[in-house]
Amino acid sequence: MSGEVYVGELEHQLLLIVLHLGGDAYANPIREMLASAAGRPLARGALYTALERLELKGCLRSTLGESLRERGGRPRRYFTVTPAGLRALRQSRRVLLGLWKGLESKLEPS
Amino acid sequence: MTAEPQRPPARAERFLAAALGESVYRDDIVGDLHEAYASVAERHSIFYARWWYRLHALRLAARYAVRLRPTVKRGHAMDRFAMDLRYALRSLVKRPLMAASVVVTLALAIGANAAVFGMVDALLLRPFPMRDVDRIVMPVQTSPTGIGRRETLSPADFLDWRRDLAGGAIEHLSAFEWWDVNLVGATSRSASSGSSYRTSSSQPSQLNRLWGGRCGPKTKSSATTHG
Repeated sequence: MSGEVYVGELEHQLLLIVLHLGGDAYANPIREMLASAAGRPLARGALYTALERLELKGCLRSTLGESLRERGGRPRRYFTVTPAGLRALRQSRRVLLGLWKGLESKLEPS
Repeated sequence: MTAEPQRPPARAERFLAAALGESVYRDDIVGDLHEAYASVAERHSIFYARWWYRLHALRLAARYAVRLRPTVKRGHAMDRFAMDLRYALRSLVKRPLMAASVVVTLALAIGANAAVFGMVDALLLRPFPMRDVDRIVMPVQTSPTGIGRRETLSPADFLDWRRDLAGGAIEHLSAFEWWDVNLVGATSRSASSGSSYRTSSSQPSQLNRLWGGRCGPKTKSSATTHG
């Protein structure tokens, strides 16, 4: 993938959650963590769309695990953040922190 | 609680798998929902979990039925068009009053356009099929008692008019006679109304075009069928 990859707010949060979950990052815990940590109940369909888009952007890579009985014999799809995803996260963080500078007095809770 | 793993409704699961079609994540979505079903069944009742599963399967199926695959190739004309279309539909559904006003406005605009186009079509695009329309006149006879009513002209009066007006303001003068007929067959239930006319012009082409036919200075008939 050539050029910079930009991520939106939801994609930013999803990449961070995948990093937090490490080797256990598949759709169900990602969705639960998004709801608990970010207070953002996301429809399942919207989650899969966002994950698929991040894969297309090259920010995520997915691998299939072993077939599991509790999933009706289907495997889990585990996600990992790619180097391009890490670069996109750093870039997004740098931009946000730059924009935050000078606004602490207005935005910090008093 | 049973020792066996909880199984979601089989029909709903098959329906979801079929609805997801060729989606890359089809097995993952079905598996994730299967796994989540067991968790819901543990925290609530089996009855609740089955309905929960059916609802989520339906929502996922509906989403994937109208969903386009996500793409990072922004800027393709059809991508933008599809996004605009979906956004417009969602906006209209969320604001029904706004949607109603849009529909009424469109209906009025389309109606006005159709009326204007009808006039343009008749006057400009498909004008009268004869030359010098502005030079065609129809002299008629009226009576003092029936003002504004056209009276039948006698053959003798027509001959006088043609003799007196020839070479003056009127270049050619023709007379025609017209009558309507109703034709009903012995076995047919439909009636045909017809018209017949006879011209006396030595140059009938202009007049014949006016009536939409081709004929000489003789009798011609036309008929239209009404069911």
